[in-house]
Amino acid sequence: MTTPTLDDLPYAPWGVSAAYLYVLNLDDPALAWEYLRRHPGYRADWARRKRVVSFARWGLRCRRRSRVGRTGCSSLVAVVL
Amino acid sequence: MRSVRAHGAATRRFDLWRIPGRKRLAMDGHDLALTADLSALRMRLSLSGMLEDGGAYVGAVPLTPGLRGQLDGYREQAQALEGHAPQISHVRSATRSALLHLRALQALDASQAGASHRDIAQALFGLEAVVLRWSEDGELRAQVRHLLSRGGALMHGGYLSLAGVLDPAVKSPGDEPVR
Repeated sequence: MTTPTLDDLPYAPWGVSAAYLYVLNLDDPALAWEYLRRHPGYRADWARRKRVVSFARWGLRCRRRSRVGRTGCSSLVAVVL
Repeated sequence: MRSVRAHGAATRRFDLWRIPGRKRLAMDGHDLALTADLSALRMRLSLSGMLEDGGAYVGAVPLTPGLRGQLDGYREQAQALEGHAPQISHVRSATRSALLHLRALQALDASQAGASHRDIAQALFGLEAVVLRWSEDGELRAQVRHLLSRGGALMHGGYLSLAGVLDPAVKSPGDEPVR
């Protein structure tokens, strides 16, 4: 792991303030999503592809009713409660 | 939003093009998902597939514990449906807290990437501010610490109240023991 130096600053994604300007136009539910997707545990869940079973853990709900015989919902339609 | 039978002349009629702002429509099963951007306000509506242009309509909102706090927003959305853009003063007050969110999110990203408080201060407040005002226990570092703790709290469960609901069963998502 490398330690960031001052020279790295302009090139690190977090060093570019302009890349965050979209935040100014977000409403509260969209901001909630911005914070949730930075949670290390949530990201680990996502990476382990357990997202279908862990919706309740993160306070997510299905946007659409699941089809008969299907439990959970597709990740694409999940939204923060 | 769903259609209703008309109850007289006072019934409001749906008109997509009367809604101000940039609009996007997407299919959502049998319904249509409408997103409209009105400066700082983003409206998300689910339109019933039965709703016709010019038809009478009613709007439904979720019954959540945060309903009281959302009423002003719903009122604005109802007015937007009637063609009235939101008040400028509301937009301006929202921008102040939006700037805090911007900085908190940027600080979170930097911290997770392993950046030091000083590096974060430089990214947020500029090289000049850091050169002139940085000290180990100074005001700039206090601001960075504040943003990180605020962002961290929102990330560790605070986002639920931000989203308008707080389920008491989900106090700190992700912190419960793994089964």
